[in-house]
Amino acid sequence: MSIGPLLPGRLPNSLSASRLTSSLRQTTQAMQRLQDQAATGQKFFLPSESPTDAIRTIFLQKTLERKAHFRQSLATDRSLLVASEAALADVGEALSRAKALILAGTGDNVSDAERDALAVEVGALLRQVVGAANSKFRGRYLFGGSASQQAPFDIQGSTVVYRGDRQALQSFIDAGLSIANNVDGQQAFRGMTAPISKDVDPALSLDTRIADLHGGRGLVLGEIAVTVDDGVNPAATRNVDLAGARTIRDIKTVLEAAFAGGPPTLAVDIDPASRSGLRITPSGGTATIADVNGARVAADLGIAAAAQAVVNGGDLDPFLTLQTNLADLNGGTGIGATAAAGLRIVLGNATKTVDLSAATTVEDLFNAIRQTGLPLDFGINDAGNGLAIASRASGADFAIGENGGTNAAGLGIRTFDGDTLLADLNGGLGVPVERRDENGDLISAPLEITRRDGSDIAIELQGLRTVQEVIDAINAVDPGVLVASQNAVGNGISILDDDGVSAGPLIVNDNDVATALGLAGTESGNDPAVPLVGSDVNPQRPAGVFAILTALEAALRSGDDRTLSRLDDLADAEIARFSALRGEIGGRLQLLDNVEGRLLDDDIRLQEALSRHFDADLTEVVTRVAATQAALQATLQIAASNQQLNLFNFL
Amino acid sequence: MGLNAALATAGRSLELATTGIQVVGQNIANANTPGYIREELQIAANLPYSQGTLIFGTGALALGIRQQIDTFLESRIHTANSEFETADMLQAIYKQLETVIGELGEGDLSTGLNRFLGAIHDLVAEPESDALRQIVVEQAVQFAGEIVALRNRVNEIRTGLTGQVDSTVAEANRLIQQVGELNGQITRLESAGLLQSDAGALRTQRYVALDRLSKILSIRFVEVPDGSVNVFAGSDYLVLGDRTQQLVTASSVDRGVVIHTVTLSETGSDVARHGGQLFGLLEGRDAVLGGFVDALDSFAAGVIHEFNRIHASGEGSSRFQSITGTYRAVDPAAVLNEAGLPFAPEHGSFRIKVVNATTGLAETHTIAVDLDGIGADTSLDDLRAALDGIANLSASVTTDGRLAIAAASGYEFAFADDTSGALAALGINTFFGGTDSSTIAVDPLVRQNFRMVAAGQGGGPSDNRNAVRLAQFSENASALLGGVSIDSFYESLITRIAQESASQTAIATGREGFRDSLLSQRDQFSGVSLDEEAMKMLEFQRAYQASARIITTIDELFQTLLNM
Repeated sequence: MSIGPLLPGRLPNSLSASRLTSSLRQTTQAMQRLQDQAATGQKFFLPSESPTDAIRTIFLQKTLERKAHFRQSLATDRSLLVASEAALADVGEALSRAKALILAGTGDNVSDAERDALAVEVGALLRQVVGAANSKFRGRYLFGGSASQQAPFDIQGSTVVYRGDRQALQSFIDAGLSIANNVDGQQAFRGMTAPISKDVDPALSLDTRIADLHGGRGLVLGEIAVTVDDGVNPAATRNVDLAGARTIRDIKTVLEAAFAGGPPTLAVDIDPASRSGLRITPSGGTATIADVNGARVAADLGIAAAAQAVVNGGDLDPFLTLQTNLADLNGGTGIGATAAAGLRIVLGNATKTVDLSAATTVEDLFNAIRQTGLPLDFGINDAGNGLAIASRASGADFAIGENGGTNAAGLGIRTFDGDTLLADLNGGLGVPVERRDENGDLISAPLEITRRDGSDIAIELQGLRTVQEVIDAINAVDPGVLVASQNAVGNGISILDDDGVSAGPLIVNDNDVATALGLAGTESGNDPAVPLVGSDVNPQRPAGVFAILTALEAALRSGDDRTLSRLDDLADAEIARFSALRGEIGGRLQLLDNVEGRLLDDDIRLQEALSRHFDADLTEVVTRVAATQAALQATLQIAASNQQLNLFNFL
Repeated sequence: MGLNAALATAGRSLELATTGIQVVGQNIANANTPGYIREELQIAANLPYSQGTLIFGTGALALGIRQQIDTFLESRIHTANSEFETADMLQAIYKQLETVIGELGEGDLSTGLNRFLGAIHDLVAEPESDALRQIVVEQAVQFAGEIVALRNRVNEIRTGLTGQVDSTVAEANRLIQQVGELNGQITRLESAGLLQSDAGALRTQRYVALDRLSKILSIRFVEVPDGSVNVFAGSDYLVLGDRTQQLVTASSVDRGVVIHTVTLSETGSDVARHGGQLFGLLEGRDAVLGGFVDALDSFAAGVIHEFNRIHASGEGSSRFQSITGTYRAVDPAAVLNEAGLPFAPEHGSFRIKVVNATTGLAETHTIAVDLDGIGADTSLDDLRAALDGIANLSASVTTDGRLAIAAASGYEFAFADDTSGALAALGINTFFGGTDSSTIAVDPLVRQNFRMVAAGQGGGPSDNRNAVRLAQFSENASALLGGVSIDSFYESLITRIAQESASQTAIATGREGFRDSLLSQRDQFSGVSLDEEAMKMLEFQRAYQASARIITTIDELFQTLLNM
């Protein structure tokens, strides 16, 4: 019984006894509670005893538990990055050593035997670097990307093949903060070529996902207002909610269904003119499409329009996906005929033809490429608008050319194409379209051709930038007779000189420009319909340490001083890149340190807050014990004397 | 009439004083009897008579022995009793619930969830580790086990409360019976009585019974002139004269446990819903604990489906050669979101990749799940047909309504980009199985082969892109939980229970104080004060002595008269 107010009047003994019992019970309970608080250090034992403190406590406990995971991930990340850094340091040293070997091997005063010895040392160095690149730590090959369970670099003859991928393995180190705890083989060693890739402008199809629109950025769908006024029936306005649409087909379905009860009705399809946007055609009259409540749904779909007979939507720029049809590329014009065409892929000594006649989708194309068995990497480029095909083999030349059609160019993956920059040809050495004369003045270096009719011409190439411009310059000399074009098979420039009469040899004089364009040579047959076929002067090679070392070994064996001097520059660049890369890893390690410091600070702060809300204040407990004890004692004393007092004692 | 009259008066006085002493004795004897109502001898001056011009008194007369009780106060106490008992029972149940949740300790669900998430974080950092994959599975098994254990503990409490309902109903029935019997006895005993409270002890027994009954049920009593009381609960009678109505229980199954509901035997009313301990028991069992079970079911369903939705779009380090869904559709021909699946898919699509295990050549197909409600929507049969149409893949619906997919020999398959939730809803490439807190478990396929933990999205063994998403699954808004995340759903659940429990405790304390103040008033009015009784005893003693003195005096007067 709780102790309430007493009314004036009689006070039965039973009442005073029960009040005493209850006050004793309350005080002993309070004492017990204080004792429990002192014993456990907890302020409360059930959340309801102090709901606000308990809720904070629960939240703080959760945060502490979660932060503990981050510290654990952080430790793992650090050990992996430190191991990667150490392996890269080894490679950096090997590169410095390679540079010394280049210097030692350059010049006329080095004998062939010495060069062979140096080449042997380079071979050993290469194996050492491959060993470092195949470092394994905590059960992971550090430089394989996500393919971490097999050695990522494999020496195959004179090439080094990268078998990993380019995935950054993200790991959480704080709430909402992640960091890659690996360096993939491409980032670390540039074990693959930089992929040739062009925007192939995939056309919109009904199956295109909304999330793939606008270059993969997608858009947020909601309600739009569509009004159709056919001039006959009353104008119909419908607010159409597109939020549930996942594909372009869904938008079509929902919009058409909204007007299904017409007339007037509505038809939605892909605009056949642009093939990149929607077309909305009312059954008659005009359609008006507007956004509702300031949203940007119709605008983002490119269909916001005032009253128009046909609404032609804007370019929705869909992402290229594995399911994109090859026929939908290049704004729906496709990649040209695939019968008796396809791709011609050259990698080192291997030349493979890829037949695309059965390929419908991008994935089919990839499967066809995969079937060549060549060590290639293929996928969608980072911008999501083109294909990216790269060679994984360091030390081998790689090229994708046509096989009689336009497929490679249509796919945007031809390694030697009209818009290839002259400066990029020959591994970046370019084409010397101008040179300095004896006085040091810049003069043009012309392309010199002896035509089939015996005349000599010189074509000025000064100021030209691309392969197509060179072709155009040649074609301008004698239009329709002297015709330059890209090789129908493979890569390079072909020149045809057919005036219908002359049958002399067609000669491109061997000078620096002609060599650099791959054109130097003679077509000595009598048939003027046979062109002079140039060679591919834009072979792709990985640029990394393996490419340098394999090239170095070959150059030392062949005593190629020109290549050695170029390798010297490449080695310098690679050493600089390695320093930058190690700096970047150092930056990540520093971030880990910073975050760890912050996590430790957080931990202390959280513990402190937790203690404030959850821990019993011992001083307070002890003080209250003293007070409660005094109260208990007083109650007992008063009760003892009070209960003894009775009239019967005095009768 | 002179001396004889005076003697008679004095003689009656002696009797009266003796009676008074007897009443005092009764009061003192029962001073510590719980519920005892003190009695008081009602005395009045006897009828006078006239003789000539004089009117003489004839002494004092015992009118009767009256219980000192305030029946209006008694009614208020009954109301206060039932209100307090409801609140007290509820707060006790809340405390039990808080104890089984154990949120402030180490073995609670949030710690289990955090350990599970921690294991996923570890896997994100080192996705190639088979050991960490296994730990993810083990932590998930433990977490699912903790949810089931919590559910079982709540079930146990609910079963226990049903037992308590039974015993409380039995007690109430005994009390109703007792009041009915006492009614008869009191009526018979008091039919010749002077006052309407002569049968004191029996009345005390009846008051005690009513007091206890008012704690169990919210009751109202009316005393009728023959001394019996009629007892009502709401508009139904429990006791009407010597007729009584009993409480009866009926069994039913609610949220996986057998419960007993209470009704009246004659009128069939849901009498227990009016208040009292019984109401607290039923409300605590069905609304408080039942409500928690519902919330826990939602939480478990949220965990299962949200995790599965992400998981179903990922790839493990092995692909499937065949798989059978874990969830069954009641009607494979019905539209998928009305086919009786435990989780409803939505409009969207998913991708399935068929890979030639030898050459690595892959073919990806997008399977549309059309559930936009326009035109023909996708049923499980449609889905099966679409999958079956893919080269090197066969799909079937088992007789119990599960989707089964198998690849041709030498082929494997994997899933990706499920925007529809159909895979998760069919239990294909899922991590958790079950539908609620009593059935949640880790998918047996994943449990047997931890390489099926879909950490990647089709890359190498260290592909952790899906694990990165899985690690954040508890922070994503869940449509299943009304748009809040699993984390905040759980937090608000615990917060709600803590606050409701605290307010229930406050209500109980408040009602207890009110009831106690009423009890204290009753005690003050009806309790026995020894000092007071001692005073009365002295009064009667003196009265007896004085009366005896008068008799002696009259005796002397008679002597004098006789000796004349």
